[in-house]
Amino acid sequence: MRSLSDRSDTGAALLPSERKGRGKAGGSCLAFLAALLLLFFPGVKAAGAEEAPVRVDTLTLQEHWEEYDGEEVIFVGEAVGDVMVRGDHAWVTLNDDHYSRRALREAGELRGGNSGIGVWLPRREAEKIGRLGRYGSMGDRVEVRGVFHADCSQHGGDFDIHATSLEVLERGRDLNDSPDSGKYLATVFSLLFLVGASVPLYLRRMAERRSARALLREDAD
Amino acid sequence: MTGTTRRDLENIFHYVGMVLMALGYCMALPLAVCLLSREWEPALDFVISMGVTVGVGNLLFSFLRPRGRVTWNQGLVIVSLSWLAAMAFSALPLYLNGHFSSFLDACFETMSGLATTGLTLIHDLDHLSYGMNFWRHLIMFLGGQGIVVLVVSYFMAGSSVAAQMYIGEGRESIVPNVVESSRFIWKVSVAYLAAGTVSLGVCLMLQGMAPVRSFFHAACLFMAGFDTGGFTPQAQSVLYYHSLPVELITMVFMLLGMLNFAVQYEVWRGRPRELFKNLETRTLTFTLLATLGLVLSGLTLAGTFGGFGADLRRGAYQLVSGHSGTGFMTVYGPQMGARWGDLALFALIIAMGLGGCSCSTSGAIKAIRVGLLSRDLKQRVKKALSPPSVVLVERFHHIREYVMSNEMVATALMVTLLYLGLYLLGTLVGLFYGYGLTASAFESVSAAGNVGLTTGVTSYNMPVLMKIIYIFEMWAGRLEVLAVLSMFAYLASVFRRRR
Repeated sequence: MRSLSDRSDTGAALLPSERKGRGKAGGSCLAFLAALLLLFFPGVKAAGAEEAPVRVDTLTLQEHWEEYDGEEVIFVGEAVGDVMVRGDHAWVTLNDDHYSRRALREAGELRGGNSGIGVWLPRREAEKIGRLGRYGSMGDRVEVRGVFHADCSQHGGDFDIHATSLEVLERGRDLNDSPDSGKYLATVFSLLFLVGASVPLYLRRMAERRSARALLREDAD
Repeated sequence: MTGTTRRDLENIFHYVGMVLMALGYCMALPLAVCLLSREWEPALDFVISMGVTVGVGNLLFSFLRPRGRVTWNQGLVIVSLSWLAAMAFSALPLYLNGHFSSFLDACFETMSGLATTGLTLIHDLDHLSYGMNFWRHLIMFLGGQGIVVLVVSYFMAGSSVAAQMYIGEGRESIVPNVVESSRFIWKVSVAYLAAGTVSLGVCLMLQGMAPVRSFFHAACLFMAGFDTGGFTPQAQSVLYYHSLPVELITMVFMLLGMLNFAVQYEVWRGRPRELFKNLETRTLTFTLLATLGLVLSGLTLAGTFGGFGADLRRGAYQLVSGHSGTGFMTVYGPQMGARWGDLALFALIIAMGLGGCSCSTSGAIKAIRVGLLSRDLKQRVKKALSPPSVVLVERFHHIREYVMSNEMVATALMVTLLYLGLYLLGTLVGLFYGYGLTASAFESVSAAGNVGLTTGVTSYNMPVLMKIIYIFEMWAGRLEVLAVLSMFAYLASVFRRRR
């Protein structure tokens, strides 16, 4: 399991409080200059106050949901399962677990269950998804931008992201489904074992039938 | 080895072999799903597993012939051992498919499936093949309806061992003949399966899923919901569908699964009043409403969701899921552990510990025992307040009229205590490994009550001993503890005889 300290390395998910607290000492001069700037150029305020959305992952959202609830976020993951179209919007699940980067069938690394989040997005954005992650298929790796809800009022308390845009970062692909030679060999041995183990049962059934026929013949005589 | 011991073991393993043969033949269904879905590697996994399972079953069945009448104890041992054997052999295809860290983890999954628990240790479920996913749900269906019941009803008609095995699997007779009872259970289940798959399949299509996947998911969800199992085809459980209609339909499946089959039989026969007169359904209604009240109060106090609508939707779903022993989730496990507050979690623990009705697919203590014990308490209070010369007779209705006897109460109390002991065992092991009290108790009750809800404790990297204890809890919980204890007592007696 990834520790939270890894977040700064990946740049994936700094908490808003952490972002707000950085560089306090040097920030006072900048704040003074910014205040002067805003005094003379009020139009700059709106653009300057907007914070860029942060990239987050499922684990961070689950552990620090209070920090991100209602915030605009960026989420990157593999589109898996289905795109469920509902009117002019759609639901899609994005997984950001280990398998979304390295397929189990290729890497063979077992790293636990899946983790991901449901994303509610406009249908036209969802239609950009060409391939979904399933057996034998790696789904498109996509990036969505939208607002995270720890308790979505529109969807009865869902834990979801309402995305406004979706960008396909990497197209999905087929995964290998050809069995190795060991499995073919095991299949042959298993079938031979089955045939061998069925012989006593077959002989027993034959003997039972013979004795039943003999009894019938005796009765007839 | 003495002659008696040898004869005992031959009797037992002959029937275990029969169960294994039936299990092996059942693997043909997921194999067909693999072939239809063009999933070649999983198809080979099923061929290998089928060969081994049917082969071993054949050998046991042919070489170990039953000699003499099967005794009551032997019947219980056959059931317990059959379940262990079914766990190990049905784990073969899952393990071969490479989605489990160890064979023990695959066994955990299959015991969870057979016992209709729903706790899972699978890796990367979202990329699992259709065939393997179908198998996970099918074993839930087989376990829920009773794999031994299946063998009893179709392979052992008229056999003297049928009754022991039927009751050993935690069933009560619906009609006078156990074989007819088993057949009724299977017929009703298959009829429900067809109706449930069609209704949910159409609903999923309307919710935006492709037709083939809709009906595949519907069949899987029905098997897991009606059998109060809790596996789902996707890792996000029922939350994956983000759909109120899907939640409502699966709630109906769970409610049907937790109702006594004998009561359903009466309703089918045109006697719907049985539902309202029956002590068990009345107790169940009371405990459902009482625990729902607690869950909703807990959620409101903790401020988990923004409003009463969300509290009701999430709270009621998780409560029905927990009380019925299903384990479907519409919230994330860790989210539930962290945000639901102790009162709501405690209410869920109570609901999971009580379970559904007897002769249903639910696990845990069961409503009839709770009803009997509360009636007994009422009678004792009444007696304490009455003059000593007064003789009180307590009657109750459960399919027919009964006069409550001390023996009935003692049996109910004993099984209740055994379940409480089982819950305590898993809780202590959780505490030993450093998990919190609420989390340990929640997970233990979830395993022993065959529920499957989790706050995140169950994971592939939990200690091996915890996995073994949870497997034991699921197994003993499903067979109502008594059959498992009988098996241990029987094995001890066999060893004593050998010495």
